Amino acid sequence: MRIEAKFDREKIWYRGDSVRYLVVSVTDPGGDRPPAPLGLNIALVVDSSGSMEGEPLGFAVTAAQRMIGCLSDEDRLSVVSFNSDVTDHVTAEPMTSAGRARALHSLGTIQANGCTNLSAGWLRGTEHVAQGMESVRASQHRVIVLSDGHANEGIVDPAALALHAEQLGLRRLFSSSVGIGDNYNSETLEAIAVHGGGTHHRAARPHEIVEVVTAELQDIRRTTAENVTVTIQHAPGVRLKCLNEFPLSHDDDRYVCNLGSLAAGASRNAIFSIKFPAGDVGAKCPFRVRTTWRRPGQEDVYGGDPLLVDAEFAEGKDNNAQPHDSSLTEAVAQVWQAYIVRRIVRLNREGRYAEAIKRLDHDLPLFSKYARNAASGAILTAELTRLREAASREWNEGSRKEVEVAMYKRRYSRLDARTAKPEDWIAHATADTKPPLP
Amino acid sequence: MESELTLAELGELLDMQPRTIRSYIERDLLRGPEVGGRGARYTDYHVTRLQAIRALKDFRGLPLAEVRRRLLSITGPELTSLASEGAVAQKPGSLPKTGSALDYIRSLKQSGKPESPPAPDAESPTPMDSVLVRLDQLTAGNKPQRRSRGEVWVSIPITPDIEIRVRGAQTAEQLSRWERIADYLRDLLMGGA
Repeated sequence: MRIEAKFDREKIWYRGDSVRYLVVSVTDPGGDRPPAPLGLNIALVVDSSGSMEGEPLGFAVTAAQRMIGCLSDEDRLSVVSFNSDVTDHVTAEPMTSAGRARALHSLGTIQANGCTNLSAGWLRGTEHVAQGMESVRASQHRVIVLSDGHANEGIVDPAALALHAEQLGLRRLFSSSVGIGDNYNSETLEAIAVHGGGTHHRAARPHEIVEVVTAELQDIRRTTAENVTVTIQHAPGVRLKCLNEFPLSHDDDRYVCNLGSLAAGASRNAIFSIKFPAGDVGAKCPFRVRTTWRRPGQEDVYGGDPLLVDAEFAEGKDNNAQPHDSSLTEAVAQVWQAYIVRRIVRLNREGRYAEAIKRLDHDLPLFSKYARNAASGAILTAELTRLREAASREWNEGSRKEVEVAMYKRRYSRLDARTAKPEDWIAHATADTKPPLP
Repeated sequence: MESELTLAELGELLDMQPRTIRSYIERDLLRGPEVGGRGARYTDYHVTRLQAIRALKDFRGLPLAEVRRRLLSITGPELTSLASEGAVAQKPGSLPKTGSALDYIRSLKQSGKPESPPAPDAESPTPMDSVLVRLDQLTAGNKPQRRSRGEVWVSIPITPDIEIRVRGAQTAEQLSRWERIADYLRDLLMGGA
């Protein structure tokens, strides 16, 4: 595992309140993968509420059939559908030829009707996988939940679902999600995937369900590190937040950030915005950064050597004169922009246009000042300026979802698994707006 | 001293959107701020109540109407216990991180099992009845003289949070009427017949 930790600028103003960005980069070159591929223990949880009737449910079933075709004797599959009730179609079925036949047959019984009790369906899927974990330890355990709507029964708070997803992830049962169409609850499905150590996908058109589920299966097979965790030990008076919004907890003098799972050859950049207290000129403000992870199917926790990074208190003139690290500044600006845009999307969805404009008016000058030292800073700033022009209008929900998923992919270094790549996010945000409100 | 928070501070403390808190107030799940307008302040009452709402709504999956119904009849200790559940659930770091995934799901199902509402039983003695019986026994039936305090207020409880207060001594018949009014109000508040 290759791990780097560096500040975008190392000097901080001795009178306090300097903000610097600590970039922790984790890459798994994939050289020391487990010798043999592990069996999979997967649950596919399919929304079968009334709105899924027709093509969405048809393609969800096709995705399940395709998945069954890709699984082998050592894999287990559970299929659960949920509307107001939960139905088990197959339960931790070994994917032998007989098991595959039973699973394929059971898919024919999925019917669309009723409401959306997402939590009940998802938890039932996790329960089947958890039962499989008891008997098959050396496996990769994953739940993939497919939904096109808003959970309106059971646990509906994204924070509560995130909590359970995180707790299950700590126990090595990971969750991914697929949002179908334009009316799914992105907040809920993102929360399950981000906190559950998996990936969130969007299938805007029904046939894309098959593409993203197939890609997800390939990703699970390529996973080489799970529970990748960055722990940052810091000096008193420091305040830290994760700009990507990876799950972060704080305990006394350390922050613990959960980066989820990592596939061979993949990287994650966790970017921490740090506000410093005052200090004596020339004194150091030290940070100790340690990354740990587990290999799929193994109990051991691996850890890189702790990395020691310092920021140094300096006079104003020295602080202002220091150079920017252009590649780190670029990485920060990309994620910072995603952080801003994500908030604007949510405000637009809630109809809080004036607040969106006020927020952009606050953020744009700060962002622009920082991003001018990044290679694509001018482009990023211009995009935000265009966003400012569009912020007073109601956007189409499909556009909001496209922008949101583009920002998700950028924040968490994920690729879009859809074959037809979507337009640039800014095209969605600006061209596809409804007329100004009266 | 009881803490006083702005709406934003309350939301940050509980990791809850201010608009969610406002909507709970609008739906009568908790009372509004102690002081209205721009200087609105929220107290420990709101913190406890919101944590209990979180526990009932998010971790037991109850609809808001049912949450409201339960909060109307909940006792102080039950509220505190629920609030602790909501507070623990809010902080992932404070949850036990041991046990298998299956253990976790089972414990979640256990805690999420909706409780049956207590069956109304008008004939059952209340804890206060028991205390009165015991005191009667201790004083061998010699009821002490009631002392006048200049101004008498009578309180007739409706729910743990709401009561009727009447100035002046009340006859047994008047009290009985007030109690019947309280019964009607309780039924109305709890969505009963």
